[in-house]
Amino acid sequence: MSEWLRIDAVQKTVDEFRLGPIDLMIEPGTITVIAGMNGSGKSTLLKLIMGLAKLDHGRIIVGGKPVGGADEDWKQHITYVPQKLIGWDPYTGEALKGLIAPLYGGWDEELFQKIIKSFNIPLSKRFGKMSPGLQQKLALALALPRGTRLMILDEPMNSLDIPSRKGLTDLLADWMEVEERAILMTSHQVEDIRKLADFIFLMQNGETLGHYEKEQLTESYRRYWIDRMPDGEIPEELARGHMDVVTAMPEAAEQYFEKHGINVMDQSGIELEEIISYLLDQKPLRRVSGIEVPDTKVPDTKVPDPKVPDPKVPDTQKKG
Amino acid sequence: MTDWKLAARLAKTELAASKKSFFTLLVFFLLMSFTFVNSFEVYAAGDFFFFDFIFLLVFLVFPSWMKGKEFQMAKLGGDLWTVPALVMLQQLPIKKDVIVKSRFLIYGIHSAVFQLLLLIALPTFSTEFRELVTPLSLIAFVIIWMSLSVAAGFVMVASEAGGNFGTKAFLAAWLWIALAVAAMYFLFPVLFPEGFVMWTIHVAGDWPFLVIPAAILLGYGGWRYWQYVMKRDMAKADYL
Repeated sequence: MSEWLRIDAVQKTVDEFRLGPIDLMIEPGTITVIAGMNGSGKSTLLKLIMGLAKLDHGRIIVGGKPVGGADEDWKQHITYVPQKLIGWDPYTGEALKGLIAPLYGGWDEELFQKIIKSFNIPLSKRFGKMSPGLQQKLALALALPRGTRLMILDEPMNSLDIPSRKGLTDLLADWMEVEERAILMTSHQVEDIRKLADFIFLMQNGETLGHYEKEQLTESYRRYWIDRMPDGEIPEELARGHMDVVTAMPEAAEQYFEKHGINVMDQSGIELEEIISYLLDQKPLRRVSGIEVPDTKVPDTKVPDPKVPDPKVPDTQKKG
Repeated sequence: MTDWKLAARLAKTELAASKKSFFTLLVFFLLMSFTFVNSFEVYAAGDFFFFDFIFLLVFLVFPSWMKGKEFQMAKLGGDLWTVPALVMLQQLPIKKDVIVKSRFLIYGIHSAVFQLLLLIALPTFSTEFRELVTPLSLIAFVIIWMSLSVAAGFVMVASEAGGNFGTKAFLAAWLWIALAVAAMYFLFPVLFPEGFVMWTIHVAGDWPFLVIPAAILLGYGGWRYWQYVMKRDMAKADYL
């Protein structure tokens, strides 16, 4: 088996909202972050993976077994931490641990105690009486020690304070050190994506916008400061400022500059946040060299204001 | 861990967290027992409708209604109605069958303990009731009502599977409830001229050896049937 999770052509309609078709594969040793605007269907997709609703079309395979089938053993392979923990309120942390820990053969008590201690979680307090941040910490403390192959986290950092975010990022990185594990998580935080993701799965209005390898994605977008602006468009031009231009095909753009005698004064990568914003704001998409990029130009609002100094460009170069 | 053993562990966890509502239910049933014991003489004299009505409520719906708010059916977003525990347990590696069993155990404990309390209180404290029963007919009477509680009352636990209900479905449900109460109000005096509870006392006394196996069969059938219904409804619902 080469994948822990396989989603094939999954579709689901909920009232007016239509999710899918979604195809996604999660392989061992990878962290995939699902990103998208609010209401793009990220949480719904995670709930479908957990078998919390029937599929209208397609199939989901976890650990080689179909979700929703008669054999429910696939659940042993997944840890799921939803954004909103329903049904936990009446229980203390101790009671929740008593409920959850025996269900997992690979429960790591040492890790649980370590997290409880480092996050300072009072186990005798009722979950419903805890602050949202503390609730999230307890949920994660009860998730990581389960030792499953796949962990699904829905906005795990949402309610966490800054030190706890860092702590959780480290914990997730440690968790991934054990071979053959994978994480699928949703996040609105670019910092999480930057630090954790190997792959980014973008969703928009219930549809797949693209599935990217993070490094490849960031390397595919570059901003060039050039000595003169060409009249025509450079290859895969996404945005144009007074003296700078953004492209989704750096190599082709550089060839273009050379051919047209345009000097590149400086160049820089594009912030992941900016790339994701480009991708989420633009539709429809077309595939170019295996990378999906926006089909249309970025609106003018995205173009950097030449009057505002760009901190990334040294003053000497700005003048030049 | 066998299914029933795991179901029992899940039930124990919820019961331990709902001690408060368990005690509320105990106080409620003690008050109910006191009321029934003291009004049985009036009931036996012929003023039976409300006695029958409340007696049926005790066996059919009160165990569910008296549970703590956090353990009751609730609207959990969109048009999803279910008990929160059902959503929580489905996110853990627990088979749906085990979840159903655990819900039945919880409801069974919530209902059987207190209903038995009431059924024991009647012959213990009501002279009028004691005069109407023999030890054998009392056993048959208890079995009839416990079986009825399962066969009809366990619809309440099966309904915990919940589902996606809009306003239309709710209006339809309330209409059915209103119709059922109206039917009871008009039909019971015709079908059971001495009252429904009194009819069960007589039936238990007249045909105990027929009534006992029939009631056990009815209870067993209800136990199996409502589990099937709950599993079916869980498979249909979207817990989104």
